[in-house]
Amino acid sequence: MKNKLIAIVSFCFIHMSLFGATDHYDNIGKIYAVVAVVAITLLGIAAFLFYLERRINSLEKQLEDE
Amino acid sequence: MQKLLLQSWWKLLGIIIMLYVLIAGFIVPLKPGVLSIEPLEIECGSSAILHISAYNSHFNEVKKLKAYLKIDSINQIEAADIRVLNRKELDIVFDIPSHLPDTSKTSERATLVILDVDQGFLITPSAIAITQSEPSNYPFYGQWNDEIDSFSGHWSFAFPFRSILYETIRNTFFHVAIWFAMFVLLIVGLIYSVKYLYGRQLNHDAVAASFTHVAVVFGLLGVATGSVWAKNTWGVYWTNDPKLNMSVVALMIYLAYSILRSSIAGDDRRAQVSAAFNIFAFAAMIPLIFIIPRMTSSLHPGNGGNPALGGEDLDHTLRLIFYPAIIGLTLLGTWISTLLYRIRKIQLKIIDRSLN
Amino acid sequence: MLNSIITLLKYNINVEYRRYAQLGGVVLFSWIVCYLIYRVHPGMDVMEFGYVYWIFLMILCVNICLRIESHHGSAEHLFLYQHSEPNNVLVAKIVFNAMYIFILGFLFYIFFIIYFSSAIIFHLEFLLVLIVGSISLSASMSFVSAINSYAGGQNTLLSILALPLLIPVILILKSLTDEIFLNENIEYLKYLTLISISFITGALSLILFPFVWKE
Repeated sequence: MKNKLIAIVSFCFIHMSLFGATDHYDNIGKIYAVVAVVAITLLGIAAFLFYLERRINSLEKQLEDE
Repeated sequence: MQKLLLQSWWKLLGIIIMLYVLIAGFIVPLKPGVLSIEPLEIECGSSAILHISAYNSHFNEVKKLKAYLKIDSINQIEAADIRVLNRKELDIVFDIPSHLPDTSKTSERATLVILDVDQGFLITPSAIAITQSEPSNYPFYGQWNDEIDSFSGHWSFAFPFRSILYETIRNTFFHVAIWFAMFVLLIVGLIYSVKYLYGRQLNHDAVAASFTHVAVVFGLLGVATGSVWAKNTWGVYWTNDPKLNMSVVALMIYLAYSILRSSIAGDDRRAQVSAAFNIFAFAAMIPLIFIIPRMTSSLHPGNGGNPALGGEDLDHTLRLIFYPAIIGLTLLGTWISTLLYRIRKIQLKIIDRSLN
Repeated sequence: MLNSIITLLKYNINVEYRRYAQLGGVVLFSWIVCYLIYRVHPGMDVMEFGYVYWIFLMILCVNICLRIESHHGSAEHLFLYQHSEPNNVLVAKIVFNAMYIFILGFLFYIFFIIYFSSAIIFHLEFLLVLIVGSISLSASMSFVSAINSYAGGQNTLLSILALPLLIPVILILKSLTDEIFLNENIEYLKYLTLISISFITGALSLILFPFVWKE
């Protein structure tokens, strides 16, 4: 299952590699570490946006209460 | 300032830059490099066959291949024969002279240089140990004097190949850039803390708090991504490394700052005390940044034999994406901070209204 | 100004003297900790001494600064504050804390000499490190503990605020201690570094303290 997932993800990268990189997909190059880093960054920023939304929600509530 | 805050061109610019960084950061290939060499030790006077496997290489399509073993800038030999096995593998035959150039030594490390006319040099520094079974005191001339072909090569749009880093060199655009963005946001927060202490406007304190808050989030992301990267290159999640420790202490200080903010009642009092602490903490971080890292060796680029980011190693291709990444992440962080600032401003207004 | 500082210093010492039972408590505490370390790890060497000593002194330092601020708000205290400049109060506090940390650090060092006599011996130069160290610790701590007193004066909050700021100082002190006890060449630049750190933090607290002072 995990291998299949990795295969699918790497398939996307093969198609993205327009400039002729050829060894992306066997994990010798550790491309998954880069994928993980980008995923963490984006997820972290998204989590912070959710936190902002919660603060706005509470502000709206405060305004309604008045 | 207020007008700029509401304009959307810089937000779009930030998104476009980040998009460029993501796309270019993923699709630009790595330069070819040598993954493994066998055997790692050869003897003087023998004819050695080195089995090379490489990364991202196209040996079967190359018109002209040359290989050299190089001990220093004067002493080097050319390969007697090169057999291409497939795209990634090579057998190189070297006829090693009967003695090392320095005849008194028992062994010397040689650098393997493969010249590939299409893709440039594949250099593996100090890759192979050449042993000499009979050291003597007589000088030894000749035989180590082949010349390396001068090859100017065309500039290829590719990232440098570094052993142990490999593809993860792309993390520079995300992990390193996020630390830079964090420091930029912290400096903005510091400036507004100073402004608050002189002008006593609660708005300035709100700006400082928002920027510092987002900087802390960036810092946490920097630690998390750094941890993943470290696991994949150094094999551990955490190392005792001054650069790492420095940024983590900075992060601790600013986490403490947000806890301090939340534990003081009263807007003015909170603003004063936290602005003062912000300035004090930033100054106390100076020895952490400039003195401690110089006292100990570091695993990070530029120290202790690690691939360095300064100088030749942060090459032009990396720079083309790394600098935009810093700008893009800073713009993104600024955008999020201004959103947080506007929330705080509304909060202040609501409190004002309920007091009147 | 000097007179005012000396008066404040005398006042601080007086208050502390009147609460001598608590001072005895701190001494007893450090004795107990030292004994505990001896029981747990009798064969401690010099390298480990460096860690244990400075980390414990750092924690002790938090306790000391917290106790100075704990009588914040009493009537006497308020009177004194009304009749003096903010910076004099801060300078008196820094000097007093430095003295306090030095005395306790010295006592703690003696306990270590008693229990681990095979590894740790009396070095005069270590006292120099202790003096410089206590000045730089108190220069960073005094301002932060003043801030902490505005935020409710809890123990944990002060630790969170102050300990990260003390880390560079503690690292330099630890390496100096190692050099002294292992009889290596001592880098005198480290003393200079410590002094400049305490100068920066001290000057900055003098600039910033009036801003957080009575409003």
